[in-house]
Amino acid sequence: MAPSTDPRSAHAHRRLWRRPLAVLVGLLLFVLALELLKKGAGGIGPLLRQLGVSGLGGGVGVGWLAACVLLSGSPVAAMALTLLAAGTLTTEETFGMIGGSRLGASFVVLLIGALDDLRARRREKRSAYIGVAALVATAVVYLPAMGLAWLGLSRGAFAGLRLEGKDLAGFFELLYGPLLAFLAARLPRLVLFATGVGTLLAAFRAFDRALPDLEARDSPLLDTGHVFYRPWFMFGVGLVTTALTLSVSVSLSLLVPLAAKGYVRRENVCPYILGANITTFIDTLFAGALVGHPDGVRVVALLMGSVTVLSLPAVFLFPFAFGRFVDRLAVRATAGPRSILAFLALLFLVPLLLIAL
Amino acid sequence: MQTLVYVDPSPRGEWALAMAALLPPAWRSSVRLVATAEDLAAHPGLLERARAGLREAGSVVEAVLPGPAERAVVAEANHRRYDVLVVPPAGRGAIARMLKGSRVATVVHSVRAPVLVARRPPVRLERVLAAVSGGSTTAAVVRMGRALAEGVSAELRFLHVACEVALPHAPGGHPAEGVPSIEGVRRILGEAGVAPDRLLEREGLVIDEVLEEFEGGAHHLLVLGARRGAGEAAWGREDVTERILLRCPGSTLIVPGD
Repeated sequence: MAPSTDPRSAHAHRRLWRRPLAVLVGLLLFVLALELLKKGAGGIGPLLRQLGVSGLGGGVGVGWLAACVLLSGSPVAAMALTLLAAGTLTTEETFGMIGGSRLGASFVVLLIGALDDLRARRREKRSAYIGVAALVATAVVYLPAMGLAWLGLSRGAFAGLRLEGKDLAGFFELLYGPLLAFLAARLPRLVLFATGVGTLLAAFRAFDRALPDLEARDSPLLDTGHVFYRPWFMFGVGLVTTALTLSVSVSLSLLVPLAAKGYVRRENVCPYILGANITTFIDTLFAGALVGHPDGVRVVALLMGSVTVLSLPAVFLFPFAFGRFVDRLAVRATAGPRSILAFLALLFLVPLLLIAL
Repeated sequence: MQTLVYVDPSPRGEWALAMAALLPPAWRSSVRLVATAEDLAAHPGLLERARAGLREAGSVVEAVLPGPAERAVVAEANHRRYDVLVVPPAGRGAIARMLKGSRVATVVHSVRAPVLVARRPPVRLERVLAAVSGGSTTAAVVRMGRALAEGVSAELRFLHVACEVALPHAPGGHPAEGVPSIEGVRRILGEAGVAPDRLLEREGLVIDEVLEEFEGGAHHLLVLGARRGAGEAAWGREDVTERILLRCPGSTLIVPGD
């Protein structure tokens, strides 16, 4: 009997290998990016000081703006940890930059939504709504969570917490050592840092490629357009989806194929975002373990723990009041092109103000 | 029409009798008063007082069944065919409801007939609001709402709440048949001969918008649809009808889908 030459089977076989390969490539690029960022971090220090970035507020501002510019929060959080490891940023500034990166991460969802509304000349059911809802829900939980985490940090909470990556670090030193030495000898530190940022974005792109192709499915995985799910259920979906995608903006955009016609019920949005906001820290925690600074993991664990503690009441105790509050603000902010523009402007002005102060 | 009225010895029992008395005459032509044996033992004149409250009804008969209330009502409703059940809420607080469940929600989930949950009855039924999604229950809600409003010469308005938000780069197209949408609502109302100006359209969170419109418009009765089996096999899903039913300050008529 002749061996099967079914092209569909060969394609399925290739797809089976593509995902683990994408994860492996993503991991290798992620670690390389962290090393490049650490080597180049010294070059970014004078630039940050020239811009007046210092203290907690400055950290929040620069993290927020960098997430807006890079259209993602996770690479900025990883960058903050490498800057901490290189001694460019203090623990306080790193803490602020990681927190700020999460606030700025919603910008991409808002920007894409606003552009989509303009393109479709949408006057109701605006796509920008989900971006504003993401930012408001994030800010309402993150701002007090940052206060709580800061209190923990200053009181020495989790002081003994270590996630040792020495064995892994040794392996990667062997793998990347010659390349890093070669690049460090020939490139200015600022260029080295920029190369690290590019590599980090490429790593997250590789992780995205490992995700299943939900767009190609005949039916939606989750009927979010027509079904009103319980808050805890959507919270769980947000947790799991973002644990896989590592990015709130990516997991929010994943809702498109999750919903039948690209619509999601307002009631389902908030708990999903709250869940996504917790597991988006997973890659930052991994980065914290790899950069080798004693405060790396601690800062991330404190933020992750505080966000979790403050998200739980909003999901289990007063989910509808919380949803109503976020909805009212999001409706006002997306009432018309002017209010959307004002909100977008606010997204840039607040971090600039924080840096300037 | 056959109507069942549950007779509760608490002050809320008066709400059920008063609401039953406000129903269209055809709906009151044949009424069965249901009480539990335990309540009757504690309040021997309970059914006589209830009968006096329904003087204008047609034939009134009585049935006494073992309690608790929800079990008696469900047993009776499943034993005979009723066109509407009138039940007052048990008045349980959040903790009691968590432990025992909601009486009215249990009845709504367990019977096939429409259930009128009686709360704070007005002197006359003048304004009726029917919340419609455009889904599988809309036709039944429109039919029942019209029959009731016409029977008591009340003003009937329909409300649709659009709660969907578009996602960036969402695929276009119209919702599939049976999927709740404003297009589905307009089609069903058009087929029923309802004037387009009777439909109110709002955008927001469904429960909040429905309750705001109910209170803001000083409506006396809210008509809602309930999907069959909404209480069962709904792991992870929210029952919107139940949430509105439990939070609505006025009377609510729950109509099962076709």
